[in-house]
Amino acid sequence: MWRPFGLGIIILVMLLGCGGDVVYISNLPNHFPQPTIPPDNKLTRQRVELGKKMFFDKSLSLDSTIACVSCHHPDKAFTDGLALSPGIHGRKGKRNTPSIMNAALVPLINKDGGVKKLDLQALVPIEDENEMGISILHLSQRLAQDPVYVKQSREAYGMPPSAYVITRALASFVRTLYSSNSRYDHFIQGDSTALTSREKMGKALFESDRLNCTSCHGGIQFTNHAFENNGLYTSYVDLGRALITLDSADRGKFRVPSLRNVGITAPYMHDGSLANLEEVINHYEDTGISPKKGQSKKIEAFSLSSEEKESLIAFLSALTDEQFIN
Amino acid sequence: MKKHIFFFCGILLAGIPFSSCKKESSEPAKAKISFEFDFNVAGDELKLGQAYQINGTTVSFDAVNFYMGGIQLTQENGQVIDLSDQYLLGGIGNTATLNSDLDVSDINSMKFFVGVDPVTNAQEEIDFTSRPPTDPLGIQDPSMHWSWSTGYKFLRVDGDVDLDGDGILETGVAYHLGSDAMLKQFDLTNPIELRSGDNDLIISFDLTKFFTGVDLKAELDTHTGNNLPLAERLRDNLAIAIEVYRN
Repeated sequence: MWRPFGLGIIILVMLLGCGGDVVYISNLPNHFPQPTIPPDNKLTRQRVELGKKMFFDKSLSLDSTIACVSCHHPDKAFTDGLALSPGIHGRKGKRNTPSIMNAALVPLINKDGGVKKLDLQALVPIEDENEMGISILHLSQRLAQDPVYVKQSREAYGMPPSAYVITRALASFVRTLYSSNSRYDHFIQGDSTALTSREKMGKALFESDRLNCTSCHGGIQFTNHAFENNGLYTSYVDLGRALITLDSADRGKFRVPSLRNVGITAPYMHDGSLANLEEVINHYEDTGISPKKGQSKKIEAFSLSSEEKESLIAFLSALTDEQFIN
Repeated sequence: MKKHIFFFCGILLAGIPFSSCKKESSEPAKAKISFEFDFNVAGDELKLGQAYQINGTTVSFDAVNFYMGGIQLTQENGQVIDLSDQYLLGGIGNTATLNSDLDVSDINSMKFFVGVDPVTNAQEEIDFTSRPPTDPLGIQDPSMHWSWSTGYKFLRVDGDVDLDGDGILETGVAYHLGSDAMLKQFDLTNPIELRSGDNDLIISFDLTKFFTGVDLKAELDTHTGNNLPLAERLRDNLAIAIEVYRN
């Protein structure tokens, strides 16, 4: 029997008799936006199932040692706890593995926003020589030799495995990875007991003008999806957004990540250089007081007591969606 | 020196208008325009894997490809033959065909660009994975798409160089140009004098000129954004590296 990944986090409803089993994400809370599904890749049971199979399959890498799940562990909100993840032949990735939760709501994919639609995102890890290291053409030919993949691919897309099928199927699966059920979500939906008093103190700090966290990490997604230089370095080896825009003003800018599940997605920053949330808060405290060239003007100068830092971390930890990671 | 000509594409065009007085007029003669690509190193035929000397560095190449689009041929009478909705992929051994049903003769100017137009390059609706394999903008080997960024590699030159002079080409080099700012326009106004039935155009790409001012021992790669100054120099060098002439 087919079971969507993370059953209990999202409920998928199948509408039969519409040219396939069309799947809808139906239990999103009212405060959460609905994802936009591209018309050429409607969510169907077969497509999500095929994408799930690919996600866990190491044969999607050149030497069959790395699967998507090798770096995107479900119990860590689809991160892996490492600064940089190992790829084929023991090579290290260039950036910290991002969570892929709620990716259906992200307008520009990847830390530099280089990928314009989720349906092409899978190319990045598949073809990166430091990750899975296989050309999409080669991979298509490999999967086309597998009778199971051929059968599932034909059922899902009416064609044998191809670059189109691989990228769309993986995107379909990723579109079902919805995290919207943290204690914070319960709180804002009216359950005043969902947060502890310390977490409420942290929430007040987080939302205060004094810290200005919400200028970037605001809204229900805890991100404005913008690209900002957070003052991590004076000179960036990884140019970030500038790699895409070719604009020197974008050097060191990376997509503002969502803070949902941030308590279990350490280490932090684009290169995983900060080990825990305390280091992150200390970083913003320092750079707010002594800003670096090119740093976002949204980073305010502030100073927090130890107790305030604990409260802020407690609040951030309340953004963990236990159902999602289990 | 004889250049190896890589036949690339051809256009079949109705070259002679039929007479309105004769219903039984004979089949109109076809005029054919062929775009042929000549990849060379200072005039020597380019062979993949063969060592060449460029700017004092020994280098071999294993991929040289570029997109050519926006093709418009203008005749002496002002008629424009617009092929701008079609693309050519310049590459050794590639073949493709552009079709047009326009009459052609006496071409005296030609416009085109190296690269892919911004709308197509954005790949917002149709992307390279949804195009058929026969489409130059479809999936290619070697790849002409970025993976880390949505869009096409307008041009790629890959190879190996000998850094220490021991005769072994041990270090990989890669020069990949992409993104809208890398589009290189050509507007050739010198008369090409194409005439019906005798219409081969040679697109010559000289790698020596392409690498003018580039130190192949020190400037080992650009994927455009990671080394924009080098990418811009290479883009600008296309103006001297590419020549179009009649066969």
